[in-house]
Amino acid sequence: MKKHSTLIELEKTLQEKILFLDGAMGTMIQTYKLQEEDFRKGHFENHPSDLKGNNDLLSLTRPDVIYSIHTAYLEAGADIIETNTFSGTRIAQKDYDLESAVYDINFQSAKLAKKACIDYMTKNPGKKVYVAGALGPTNRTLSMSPDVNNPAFRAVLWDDLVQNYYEQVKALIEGGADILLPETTFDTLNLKAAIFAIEKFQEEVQIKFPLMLSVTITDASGRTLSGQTTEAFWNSVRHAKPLSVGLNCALGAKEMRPYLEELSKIADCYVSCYPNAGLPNPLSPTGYDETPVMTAKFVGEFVDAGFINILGGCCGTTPDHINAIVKKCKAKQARIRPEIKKATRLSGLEAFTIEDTHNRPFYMVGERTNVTGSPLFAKLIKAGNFDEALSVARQQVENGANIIDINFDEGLLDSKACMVHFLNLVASEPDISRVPIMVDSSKWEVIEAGLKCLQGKAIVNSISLKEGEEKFLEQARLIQRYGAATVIMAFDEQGQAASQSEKVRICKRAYDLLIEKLDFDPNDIIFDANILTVATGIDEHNAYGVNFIEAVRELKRVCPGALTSGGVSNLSFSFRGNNVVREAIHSVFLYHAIKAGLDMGIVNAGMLAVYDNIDPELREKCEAVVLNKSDNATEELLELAERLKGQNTTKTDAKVDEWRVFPLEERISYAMVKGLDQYIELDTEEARLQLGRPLNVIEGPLMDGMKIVGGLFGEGKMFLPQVVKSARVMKKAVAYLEPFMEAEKLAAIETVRAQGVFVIATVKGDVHDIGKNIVGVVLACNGYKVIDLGVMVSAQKILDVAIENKADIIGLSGLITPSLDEMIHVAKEMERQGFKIPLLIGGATTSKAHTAIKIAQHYNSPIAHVGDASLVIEVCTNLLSPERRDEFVKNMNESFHSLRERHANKNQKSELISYQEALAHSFKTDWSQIEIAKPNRTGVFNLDISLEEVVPYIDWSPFFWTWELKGTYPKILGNEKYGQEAQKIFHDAQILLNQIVKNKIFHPKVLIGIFPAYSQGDDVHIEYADKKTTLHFLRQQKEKIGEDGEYLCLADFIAPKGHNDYFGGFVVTTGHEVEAFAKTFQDKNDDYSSIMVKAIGDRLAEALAELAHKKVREIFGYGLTENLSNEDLIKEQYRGVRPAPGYPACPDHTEKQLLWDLLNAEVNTGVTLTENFAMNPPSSVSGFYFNHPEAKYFNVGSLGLDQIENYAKRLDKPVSYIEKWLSPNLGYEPK
Amino acid sequence: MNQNNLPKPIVTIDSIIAEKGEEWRTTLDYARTTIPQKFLSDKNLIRLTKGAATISQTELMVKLLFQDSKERPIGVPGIDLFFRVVDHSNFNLGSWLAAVTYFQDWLSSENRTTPFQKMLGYLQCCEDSPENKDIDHVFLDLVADMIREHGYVG
Repeated sequence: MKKHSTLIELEKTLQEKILFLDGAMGTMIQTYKLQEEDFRKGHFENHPSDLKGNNDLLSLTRPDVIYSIHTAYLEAGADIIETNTFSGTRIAQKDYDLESAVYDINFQSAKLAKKACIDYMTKNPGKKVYVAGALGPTNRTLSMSPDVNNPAFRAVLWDDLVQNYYEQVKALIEGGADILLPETTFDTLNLKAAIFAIEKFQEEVQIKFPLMLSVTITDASGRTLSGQTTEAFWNSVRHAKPLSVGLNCALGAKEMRPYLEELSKIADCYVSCYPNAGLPNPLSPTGYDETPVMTAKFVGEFVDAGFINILGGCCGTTPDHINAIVKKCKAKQARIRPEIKKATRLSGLEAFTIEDTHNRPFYMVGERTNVTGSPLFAKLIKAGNFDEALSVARQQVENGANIIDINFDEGLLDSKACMVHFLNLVASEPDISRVPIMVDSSKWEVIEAGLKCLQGKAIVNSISLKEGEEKFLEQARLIQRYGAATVIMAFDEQGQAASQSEKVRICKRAYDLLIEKLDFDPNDIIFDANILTVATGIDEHNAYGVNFIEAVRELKRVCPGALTSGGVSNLSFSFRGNNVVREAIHSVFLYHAIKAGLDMGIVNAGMLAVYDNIDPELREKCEAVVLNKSDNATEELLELAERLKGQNTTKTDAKVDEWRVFPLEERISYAMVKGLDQYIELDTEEARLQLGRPLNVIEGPLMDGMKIVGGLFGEGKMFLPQVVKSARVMKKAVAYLEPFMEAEKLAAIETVRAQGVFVIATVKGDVHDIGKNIVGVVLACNGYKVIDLGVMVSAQKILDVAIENKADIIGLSGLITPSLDEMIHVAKEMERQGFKIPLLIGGATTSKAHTAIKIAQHYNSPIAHVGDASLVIEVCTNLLSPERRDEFVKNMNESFHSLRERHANKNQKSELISYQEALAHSFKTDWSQIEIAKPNRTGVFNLDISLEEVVPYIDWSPFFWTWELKGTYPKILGNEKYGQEAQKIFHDAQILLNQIVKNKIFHPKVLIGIFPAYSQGDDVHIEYADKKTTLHFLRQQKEKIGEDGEYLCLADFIAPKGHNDYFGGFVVTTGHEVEAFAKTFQDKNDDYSSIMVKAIGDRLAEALAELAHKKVREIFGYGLTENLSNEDLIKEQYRGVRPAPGYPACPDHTEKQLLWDLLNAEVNTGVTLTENFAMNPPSSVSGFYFNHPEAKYFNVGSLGLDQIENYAKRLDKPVSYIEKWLSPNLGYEPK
Repeated sequence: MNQNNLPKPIVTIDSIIAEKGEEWRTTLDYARTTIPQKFLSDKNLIRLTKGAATISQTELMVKLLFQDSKERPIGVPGIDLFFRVVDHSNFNLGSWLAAVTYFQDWLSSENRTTPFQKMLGYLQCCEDSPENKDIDHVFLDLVADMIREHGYVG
């Protein structure tokens, strides 16, 4: 392909001087204050939609304006002007329904700019100016999903974008553009698509045009919008061999400096820069911070520093800016292109460079994300569990993999679809995508699909001469165009090379072809000379290890620049199942192969033994096999392998026992802190014998150990699950001592000096107790005597027990909103009955503000709110300390007072529209146009769902929140702070869950009701068999400002009478067995397992609700075509909703009773409702089904008195009754 | 599917200036020359201005929206995202603008900046905070409490 004469000319000119680009086009257009008619004139008068703002059209409709802007810039001193085509693609013009105008826009824009140049050159003979065809980034991105709930989704596909750019490039060149300038790149993959299109066009016309690339660093993080660093970006696009690369837009010159400096050091082409005029400032005369003098000063400094070859301006710059820049810089020395060291330059979000030196390190390619080599990964992919599969990739990176190999070559998988989906997901995980990807497949179409997803510079694994030279070169040419490096396997038309000489011969042949025919960068070639299995029992296989090592040594000599690699685990397949031997073989092999020049290997990055740490006998025998030292090497290693079978590869066993040599007190503390109960009885007995009395053991080393635990927890150095495990150790020790105490006539722990007596209960009407139990354990760990009264405890019982036990503190817990009223009642009773002890308020529904404003006023002694278990000790210690109590209570009262004052002075009112107005602006449906889903069964029925079936539907994130570990599953397993602990409790949960499932310990029940229904206003009427029920819903009233202006009510999603719509409801429960099973652990002093059982019970109930909804969607038909993974289900990416009464979309808890009556739920499921409408057993979920295609969750929010009065009338209840149950939603102060 | 088509009075930038005062003109003119329609249409600029208590609130929003348009040139424009968030919230536009201003002032006092989208996310968290239950709060108070107690990592 020959170079265009302009390219040759520009290359020469840029060696001699700086060239100047023009400034902003948009800023200049805005100064003309053009109106809608200007954007239509002569072309689009009858276009149906608004065109104002579509600046590219002005090249057609107001060419005079664009021509004058071009001329102004040329007169200001610009050498290169850009065409007015930033949005000149079909994708961008789709916003205006003007895809058909794309060719004209580009052609005419280029022609107009060319005319301005010709006219200018005619007036200024001797001055040469050029037209750069501007290619914007489009308003779609290939690397990112616009939908946060669906990270694998892409709004545009590679092939479409390539086609868009191809069309634009062709029109620009045909219109007269001299240079092509893809600019304002925020996603490198978009730019790679533009480069691909340009190269396709150039190949067709057999001319290489001048190409300028320009990227946008979006903010001070120093990365592109798609997350790449400057160097990673350059590594991704340098295959285009551009005339220049540079930065533009987003930042002012000052902020660009560090990135420009970096680019000028690493780019072997010319460097450009056209910054904004600083940041926008509405109060400055130009609308931007920088005046022309200021911008010129900043960029002048860049030139002095030797960073620049081409200068110009972006947003906010004007001809005055360009003129000032030209004057300041035209006489200065241009940047001299540096000599760049030879290296393999790869990238993910970050650059990964393998320098071409003799002593480079060995690099690891993570192999676990390969379905053919990792059964775990294969299982996850087959189950569609891509989220967890991502954690496999993450682990590889965390374990030190420099590159990750990804392979989906499995007969039952759609490899291409899997590759695209997984790589799109990887792109949204910066901790994975920071490293380069190796796209691994034997199918070319899978490789190509993968390359279309990767913004970084990837590696193809692999191509070979197996199908001949033509195919090989065709694929290699495309790899070049995609901007990737490639692994070349030692295969040719005759097959796989096994001997050293064959390996070298085939690789050298491939190398020569690539260099001579394609000018392939030798640093982008990686040879895999086939690591084949040794010790198979077949003599000719014995030399495979050494053949590979010697081939590597020779290839490094005869193929300069190329790298070598290999799949290491192949080598030891004969020893499958014996990891000790396999790891040793790999380490020994790598030790010798690296010495011979092996650059990288596909390995399990977390499983490599250190060569020097391998048992000498094993190492020697492995070495004999790998290097084929003797005829009987295989037999000797097999014999040793037999002896080593089953040996653990990790050394944790040894570590566990190390602490056993500590002194007794330290051993007990260690066991407490680590939650190890294996030896606690042994140590407790030793302590009892030493200290004489069991009480001394409890008050001595055991309490001391728990103090350490309490201290570490308080300092945030231990997490809740660890504390609960520590409590288990403590309880086991105390239980061991109890018979001895009995013998001494002491009543176990009762006799122990306690920090204080704490009476704790979940209030009447509420059944939830996990949080309360955790607080109890934390208090017990810190030496408090905890009297836990359980759930649904009346005020009087709490107070009676407190008096009886001389309680120092009372703690109340509750989960549902109505519990707040019960807490107020308890506070009132405490005041009435003359209590003076502190009252602690906690639980998910409580808050400090509610405690201060609604509860504290009823009790004149100390009240505190405890937000989570980690705070309870500090609060209790302060309240019971004679020295600190007064100060603490004073501070608390002051903070309560300020909260009350703040609330009283609140003058911010929600702006509510009237109920009538809200009704008038409801969500409306043309019921004749939508398909109302018809169920294949109606009435009340049970679904038979087994525990096995429900387990895959568990959303594990809330499980970790129960344990106060913050994060979402599965990411939390790799979390820096919580990851280790999260893995442990997850592991323990799996064991318990397996036990529950295997032994059928829980008996889940799923009750469904589907009925014909119709809406009338905000009510839904159900008429089925002899049942007539009306459910009542509430409507949003807070004034809306956005586009839709809809005021939602769930009744909007049910059709009015005459349309045959359906309504559904459900009650699911994991059953009373949850509480019973938890109690078996509690009885054994094992709070940890008890809490774990309840947490699992809750998760199973939620999973049941999810699975039941899926089955209901299938009953309605529309669910049959769903193809959603578990994570999609968790994110509720399906049609229909299942809101629960008492939650934001239908906040009235009392409607639950109607559901219960409708489904006869108590009889059919055993789930009862308390007086406050909490479900018992607690591991239960209920709700309504709405099937409307646009049904969604929303928050009803504040309600006006007009709606409350209407609602009361509909329910035939007094307004005061409604106000009590809807108090959190009242947008007014009730009388 | 949705057939809501509410008749809305025609409001122009000039009429909103007439309503709010001539001193708003400079800010609105510059907003118009700085941010393309695509990222802040006249209609949305008017809505924003109507809800703003002060000129500086509008100026700040213009700056944040401009920066957002540069940082996120694709996807839902910042103003639409902002209005969606406000509509999903139980607090009104005025409260949100006051909260944005408070948060931005706090960031500036710490010599920090943050992307607009992250700012909205943080403010949404303030509304979703465990404290905002059962009791009506002033949004600004929730934001101030959140910053004081938990700071901001962004």
